[in-house]
Amino acid sequence: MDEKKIYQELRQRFGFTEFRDGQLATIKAIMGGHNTLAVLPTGGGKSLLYQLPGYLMAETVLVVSPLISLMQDQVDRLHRRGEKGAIMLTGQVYGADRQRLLQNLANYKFIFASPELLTNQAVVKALQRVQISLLTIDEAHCISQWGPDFRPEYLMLKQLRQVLGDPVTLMLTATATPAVRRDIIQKVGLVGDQVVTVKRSVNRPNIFLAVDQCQNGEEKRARLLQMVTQLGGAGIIYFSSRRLANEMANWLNTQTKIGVASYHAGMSSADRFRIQQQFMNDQVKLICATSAFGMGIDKENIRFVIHYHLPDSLENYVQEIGRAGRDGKQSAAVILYAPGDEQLPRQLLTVDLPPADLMQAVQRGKVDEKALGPDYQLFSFYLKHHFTPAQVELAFTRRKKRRLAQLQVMTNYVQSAECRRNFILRYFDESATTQERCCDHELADWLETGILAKRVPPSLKSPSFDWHCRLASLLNLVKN
Amino acid sequence: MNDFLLHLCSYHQPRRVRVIENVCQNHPTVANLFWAQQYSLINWLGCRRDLDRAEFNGELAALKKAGLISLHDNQVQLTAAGVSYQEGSPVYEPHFFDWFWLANTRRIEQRFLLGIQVVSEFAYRNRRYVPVHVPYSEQGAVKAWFHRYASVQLVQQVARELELLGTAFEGEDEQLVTAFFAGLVGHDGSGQTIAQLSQELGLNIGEMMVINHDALLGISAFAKNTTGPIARLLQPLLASSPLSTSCWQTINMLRQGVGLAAIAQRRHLKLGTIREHVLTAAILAPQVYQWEKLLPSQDKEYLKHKYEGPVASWQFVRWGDNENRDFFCFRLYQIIRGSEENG
Repeated sequence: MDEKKIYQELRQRFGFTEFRDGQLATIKAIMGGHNTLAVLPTGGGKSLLYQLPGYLMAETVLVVSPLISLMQDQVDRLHRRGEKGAIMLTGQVYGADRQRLLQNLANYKFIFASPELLTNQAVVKALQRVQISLLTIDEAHCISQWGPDFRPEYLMLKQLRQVLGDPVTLMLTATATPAVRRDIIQKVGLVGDQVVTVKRSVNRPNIFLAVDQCQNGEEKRARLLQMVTQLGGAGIIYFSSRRLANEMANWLNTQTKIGVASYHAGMSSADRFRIQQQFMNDQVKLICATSAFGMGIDKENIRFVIHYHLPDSLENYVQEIGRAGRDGKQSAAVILYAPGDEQLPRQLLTVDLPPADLMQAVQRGKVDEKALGPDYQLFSFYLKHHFTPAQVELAFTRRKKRRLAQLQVMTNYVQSAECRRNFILRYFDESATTQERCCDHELADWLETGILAKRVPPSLKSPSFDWHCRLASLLNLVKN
Repeated sequence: MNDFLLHLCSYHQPRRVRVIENVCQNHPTVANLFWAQQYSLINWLGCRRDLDRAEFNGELAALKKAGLISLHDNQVQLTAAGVSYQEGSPVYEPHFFDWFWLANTRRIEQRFLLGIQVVSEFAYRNRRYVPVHVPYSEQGAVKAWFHRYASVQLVQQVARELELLGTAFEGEDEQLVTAFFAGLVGHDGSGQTIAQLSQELGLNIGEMMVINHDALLGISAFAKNTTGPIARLLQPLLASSPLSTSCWQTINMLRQGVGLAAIAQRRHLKLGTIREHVLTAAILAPQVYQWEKLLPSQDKEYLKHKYEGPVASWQFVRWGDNENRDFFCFRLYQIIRGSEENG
């Protein structure tokens, strides 16, 4: 494909004149008809990698995405640009609505789908009727990460690709060790030499890395308050539970004058929408969130990401902190750690495996699948796809071992005396680096030194609410 | 702490926890409706359709921990501290809860928010915006509505209707009108969340949820009684009565003198379903039939002698050879006496 044409599309459609590192190489590979694995750092502009080729290709782009919030964000961004041909196919669309949507699929340029839905025969048939020119697997590390014990549907992507006539496939991720990269390619049903890999470093030099060692929960709260009061700009604080996200948002609102809001999957979709928009528009400065927030949030000026609880893997951590500093300006990523914090993610990793004879009985249809316990759908999936109980057990045991090892790496990260950036780079099989404003081992009093601008307290209280004024501004009415 | 569930508890009456949960989520089985009636909670049906079991249990646990309720044998009761808490904090009195049956307020909210947002963006001549996230069916309905009625007059008509609605809400309660307008999504802003409004108005989040539900029932009632663009947007979501169409068919045949077994036969439904229609109607629309006529006199006599005192304390014991029939008579008698008890 002519490079000029690619640049022309970039200018006209997206308003940019230059590509970010890795983007052009990826787009050229796709347009050359090559299956491509792009490992680009968070904030590297990954959505452009399928959107731009999508406009250059005549047919439809199918994007497989792991989270509804992520799909929603991509669809929102396309809408914001005036692109109406984007639709989400998720379990939330069902019955007559789904039928209608499937009949009209050809009208859409970008179809975003959850892996669960792509195991549905009616959906697959409808997609077969639509010419798919590019299959994109977003957050492709989930294929490897979420396969056995969370999203077994990812294992079906290989078959999907075949039934769709082997369209050009783009696998996108920000974090993948060499082993994960091999795993992704294999699970999509490709072999290494059939795939062009475009890889750039996971390092984000503008994000300062720190771990704040606290004695206990009380000290963590106090440190958190101190940090959010001092650090200027927008920030995200991650919690492991909705309840705590709510409580801390309320508490911070009583302690500070910063606009703080919570965000999690337990809120109504209207409230989640409101918070996302307010955060994007800087009306809310600080979000107390669970991991439901952020994947795909394209806010350029997030200055800091604080983890109140220990993430369960370095891969997830690098993903989550990558939401900071997308504008290239100095930002910070901090973990608040108290001894014993690793116990919580360790507990969350536990999946109760049903006994083999029960699984067998379910497989033979003698016992209802719900007898398999709270995670019955997960086990049922494997059993329906002809896994023997012994194979299920083996997969889960291996998986648990691997996840415990990942958690151990995360624990090592917070306890390590090594440069934190080099710790991460080593993990992802990259060379060590040196830089100023690197991590707390290099600059212990980073908070006091003020690597980020100080927070300016808001000076004015919001004026009292007048519904007549709101009505006038809502509908652009001239006030008398 | 979210104190919403305190509204559904009583100091004088232990209440079944699962009934309260089912009332919030709107599971109108005969048993739930019966107990909801006993607890005077019928008009709270569907007040929190999104509430899931974990969240419900979490809220109850927090209220218990705060000493505001007690929990025994799957029943919940307000404590003296709970009563003092309620007396000491501002309690919002709902104005539109009698319309509980009129609509699924979750769908009303989704359709209304998107509809108003579309008109707001239209008023600013903006086509590039992120629509509020609602299910595909609501998107389709709003799209069709907008394409049909979009014109220069639409903005003015909607403005007039919102003005009317605002004035009506303001007449009821200033908090209601504030919550309503502050939550709207439009070109000028994405509106405030329930949590943000509760902070702004100095109310507990539970109180704010009550106001929000009240506003949505108020909008539904407005749509029912008007003919403008808001009515055209929302009327397809409005019910015509608290009873389902199928239930009405049963009651109409009953009024024509057809017996329950014959109704079941003619309608190709199970007798149990027909009995459920009767019991549901006896609770939700007691005035539409003389229910005592359905109780054979010897059964009525038996029940009269066997059961006395508050109906909530009655325990069913079969007396004939058909347990289902006996239970139907028992429940119907209980409903009739219960509505007398409640005045």
